Formats: sequence, structure tokens, C-alpha cells
Amino acid sequence: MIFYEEQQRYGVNRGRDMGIQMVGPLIIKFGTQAQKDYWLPRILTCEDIWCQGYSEPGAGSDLANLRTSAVIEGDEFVINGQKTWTTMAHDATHIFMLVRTDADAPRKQQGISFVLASVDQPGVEVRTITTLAGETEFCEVFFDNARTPRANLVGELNKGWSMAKALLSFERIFIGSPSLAQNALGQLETFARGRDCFSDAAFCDSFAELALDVEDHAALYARFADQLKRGETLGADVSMLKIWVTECYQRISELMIEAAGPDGGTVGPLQIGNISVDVLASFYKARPTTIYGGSNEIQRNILSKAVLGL
Amino acid sequence: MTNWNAMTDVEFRSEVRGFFEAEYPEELRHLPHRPKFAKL
Repeated sequence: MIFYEEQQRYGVNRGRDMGIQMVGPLIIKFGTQAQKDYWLPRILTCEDIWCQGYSEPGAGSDLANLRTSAVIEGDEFVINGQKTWTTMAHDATHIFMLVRTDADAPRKQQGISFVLASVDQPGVEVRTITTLAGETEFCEVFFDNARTPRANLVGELNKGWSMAKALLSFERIFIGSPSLAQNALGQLETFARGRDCFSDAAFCDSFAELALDVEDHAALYARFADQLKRGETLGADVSMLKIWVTECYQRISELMIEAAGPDGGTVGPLQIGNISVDVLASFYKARPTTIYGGSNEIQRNILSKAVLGL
Repeated sequence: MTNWNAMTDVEFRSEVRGFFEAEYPEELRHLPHRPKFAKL
């Protein structure tokens, strides 16, 4: 967590770290000894680059609705279906994914399993999706009789939903890190000083409000981080972090656009003295944060049901 | 060899921060998009 915070603070671009951040911890918690021995060293050396196969067309916020199937044939699963919004799948060697292994289960959360598969095989096709910013970070992944050994099932067959939830809680503490907003606030401050925005009382008010929100959030994050350090499992209330930091991040990016005035719509970096700040890219980058990792609307539902008991 | 587990959080943070400041290329800071793994 400290490494990740420092990465964001310094503006270090994240490598393909879904192995380290997501499937690695899950294998440590639920994997067999053989899975740990095989996969974990390969994650650490980046020999395998992972992407996350959760969302599907029609199964994003309502993830349990997923339809990609995996049917057992001998010692293998045969996978058919489609994943979407798969971050950097075109740069991954492997995918960890939720698949439906029992279509007749009485509840849709049942009958889901968690499997690991190679992306580099004839039955897998990856197509990139171009975003508003013109980038190709997201992909669609199509499975047409793709295969993976049964030994790549993590946890029990048809019990993948509980692991999916565990993995999302790992993700939420990372997505909920204050460094996302702290970094953006630092960029806003640099930009605003270069543009003399702090002589405007209204801008100062907006900046102070955001700075205080970022500080408050960091204090809350520290509480959850302490829980993790004590080896405790995070509760549903961790959803607060993700909601707070992503919405704060969006407000910071909006104030930066406002501070840029007519230059706010300029594509590419704006030069301020000897530094450059890409305000439009920051704005675009902030947009999907309230959607991915479980949309903020879903997080609010979780808080209202599991924390507030509404 | 460094014993990471023996470090306090503060020491580890300082070590990581120093490493990035010394080693991470300036031109790769705050990239607006995620580069492919080969570029990193």
C-alpha cells in the first residue's frame, strides 16, 4: 500500500499490476499450494501480466448477471462468452475471470467460479475500445471455445462469488487511496500558482474546500489501512473511501478546467513556466473513476444496506 | 540484502520515495494514459 501511495504521489505510471494488487492476494488467500508455488513468483517477476475479466455486456454493476460460461471437459474448462471494459487486456498474457459453471443454480450469485486463463490462445480474441481521450486502455475480450486446465480453478467450483467480493475489497482499498486526489490536488496547485489563480478569492474558497476534503479522506483511509495492518478483514464501510476519493478527484479535475479558462478544452499539455500540466487529460481520466471497481451508485447501495441497515 | 520486513513504515516510505526521485524518468511522470508494459 505504501509503495502504491508513493507511486501515485510521484506520478509514476502504474505497470500492469493487477497481478500484484488483485489476483496475487487472492491466490495467497484461496489458492492451493501448487497454485501459489506456480503463479506467485511469475507475478513478482512480471513474467505473467494479468488483466481482470469481470464486467460483461449486461453484467457490470449487476455483476452476478454474468453469462460467460465454463464447461468441464476432461481436465479442462471450455470457456465461451464475452468480457468488456477489460483494462489493458491487449497487453496481458493472462486473465483472471468469473465464469458461470452452473447455469441452473437457484440464485444468480451461485454457480459462478473463479478461473485463471491464458489470453494467448486461439479461442481468445481481444479488441481494443477507444476512449473519449483517444486512448485504448480498455478492451473487449471474446472467448470462443477457449480452454484452461481445471487446475486453474481458484477456490471451490461454483463458489466464486465470495472470492469476487473479497477481490473487490482489495480493489476498493487501492482505488480508495488518497494519493489519487492528493496527486491531482498537487497538479491543480502547481497549475493555479502558474496562472495566478490564488489572487481570486472564489478560487481560494474552492481550493480550500477540496484540500480539506482530501485531508479528511486521508485520515479515514489511515483508519482502514490500520485495520489491514492488524490483519483484520475490511468491512462494507470501505466503500466510503472509493466514493469519497473518486468524487473529490472529479471535482479537482473540474476546478482545474475552470482555472484554465479558455485553455480548458485544449488537447495536450499546457506549459506553465518550466512544467507542463495536461488539464483535459486529467479531466478525462477522472470520469471513469466513479464507475470502475463497482460504480459509486452500487457503493452507496452497499453502504445503505450493509452499514446503515436501510 | 535489505530486510524489508524489518523496516518501519516510515523508513520504507522514505526508501521508496528516494528510489522514485532518483531513478524514475521525468518524462514518464504523470502520463495521461497507461503505456504498454514494454514501454515501462
